[in-house]
Amino acid sequence: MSKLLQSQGPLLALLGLVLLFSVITDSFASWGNLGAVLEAAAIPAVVAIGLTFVLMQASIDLSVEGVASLANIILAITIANSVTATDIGLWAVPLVLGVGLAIGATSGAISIYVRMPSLIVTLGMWLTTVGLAALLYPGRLPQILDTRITGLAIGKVWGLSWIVYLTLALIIMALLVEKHTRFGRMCRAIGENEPVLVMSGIKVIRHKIAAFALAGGCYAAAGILMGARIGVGNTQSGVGLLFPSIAACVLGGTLLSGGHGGVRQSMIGVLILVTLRNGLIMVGVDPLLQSALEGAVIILAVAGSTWHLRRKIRVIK
Amino acid sequence: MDATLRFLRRNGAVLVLLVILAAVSTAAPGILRWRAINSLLQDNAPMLILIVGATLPILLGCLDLSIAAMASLAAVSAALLSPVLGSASVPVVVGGAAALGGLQGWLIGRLQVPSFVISLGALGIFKGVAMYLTGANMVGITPGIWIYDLLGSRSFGMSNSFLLVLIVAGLFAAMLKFTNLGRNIYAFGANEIAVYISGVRRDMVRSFAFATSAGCAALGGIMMISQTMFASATVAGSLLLPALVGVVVGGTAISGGVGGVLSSLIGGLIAILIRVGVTISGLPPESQDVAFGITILIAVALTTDRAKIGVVK
Repeated sequence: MSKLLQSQGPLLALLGLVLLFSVITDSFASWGNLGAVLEAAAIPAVVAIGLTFVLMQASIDLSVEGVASLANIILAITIANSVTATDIGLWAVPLVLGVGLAIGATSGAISIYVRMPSLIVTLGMWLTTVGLAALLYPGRLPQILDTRITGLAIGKVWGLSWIVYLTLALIIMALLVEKHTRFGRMCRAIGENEPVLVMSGIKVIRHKIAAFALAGGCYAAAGILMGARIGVGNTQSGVGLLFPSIAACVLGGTLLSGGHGGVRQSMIGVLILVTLRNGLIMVGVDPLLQSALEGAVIILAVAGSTWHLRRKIRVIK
Repeated sequence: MDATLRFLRRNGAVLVLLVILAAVSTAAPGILRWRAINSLLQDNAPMLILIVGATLPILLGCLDLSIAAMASLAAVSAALLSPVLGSASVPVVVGGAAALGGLQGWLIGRLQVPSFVISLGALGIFKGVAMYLTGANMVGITPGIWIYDLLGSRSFGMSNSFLLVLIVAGLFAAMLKFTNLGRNIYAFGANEIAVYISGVRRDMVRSFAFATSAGCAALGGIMMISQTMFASATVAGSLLLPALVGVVVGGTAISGGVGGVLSSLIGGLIAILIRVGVTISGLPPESQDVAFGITILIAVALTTDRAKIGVVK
């Protein structure tokens, strides 16, 4: 029993929350609200996928907000829009994803070759990309006119927008990469014990750079989906993505210390956070107190889910 | 070569400060006038005191993400309490903040949850409470209260807020250098297990470090309202990043055990000068962030002591 609690704690917490909100409110357990929860979870889930591979390796990436904003702006000014004359059509999508991958790979390479903690490198990258997004901003809010992008948010199939389906497809791909590729297994191994891998002659460096590149690509994808949803290019579009997505990964069991968790766990974490946010509104908690309750839940959930790891002599930073 | 590198590592931050100062003052000699310097220091005193406080948890190898939210909460509470308590609202708020910070430090050890998570949760809690207290509105402060007037004014031609920053930084620097507690903080950052085995109470050290960072953050919030005479739940929210940037650029290593309060203060001055430099050089204000980002990368690349890092994470 206690073993089940340990391994499936976050999932049980999610089910418990769903059950609790369904019992105490009438409006929570409805198809419409389920859809709302999934819509709200989609973009944080895309960010959390990328973050998961980095966290599994015991590194961290803080550049989400900058990279997503930059991706959003580049998309908005290169596709058909109301301000600039450029229109490269759907080529904007691979362009933006490529920029994301390149930024991620740069962070990874700097961290490894210049030997600096990823926390600092990606903090620097966060500010740099925020600044670049602001520099590229064409002065007036560019409205995205290409309906193939905005249609992702407007067009619905079975009550859910294409954003949700694209996210689901991305989650499945990420799960396959995690379970069935050498890179996926290496991510966990690097977090568990990197020196041993290095000594066994494994080229750790390329797996580490790949994780940062993948993360950058995911943030760029989040920026594109954000563009589809808000329909404009905004330098602030990525703001507010960082802390919830890190919190979601940690809540689900992808620990910052590396080697634990995975995509499935992080997705459960995202759902916990979104369900909580949604449910608290349904219950009628003062929206001004939202972030206070979220904060308390983050602390309690992490304390609860890592309780079994407690030891007398343990370094906690 | 080695000697040059070592010299750079030890004095890197000061050199960077001097280079930027030289560049900025060639471009705009006016910046070196006493009045300009003074008003810069006064405007940035809240950020500088946050930087001073944020140094101690980082010396332990921890991170306090709740400082900016705490500064906002303190500003709001001080504004709400000032009609009742008058000048006494300042010690009450700073004391309360220190207690909340100490609680965070204690919880890290008790719950064995990383400081990143505890202080992230605390950030949410402080922000929510501040929003709730103000109803998401501005709160004005009653004019004519002695202590706020004092912080907002000048003596010996210097902003009192900035003088307070210097006093607090001096006290902490002396504490770190001359007391057992100070030496324990460095030892904790360098090797926590060794500190534990030699009988130091880790909870105490951690609580102290987080109490000081929260107390300094509260002082920062109070300085802000003494200048603007109003507070809101998000008044200091944007200070978190510049504060962490200042600490790190100054040469205090995120991995703990290396650095100090005075280096952080230099890092803070660098951050201020970059902002000024971008503004007067006629570059678009948006390039400020790019300049910040690149400066962090270069400064840290120069000042990190690689001997301590076995595996780069």
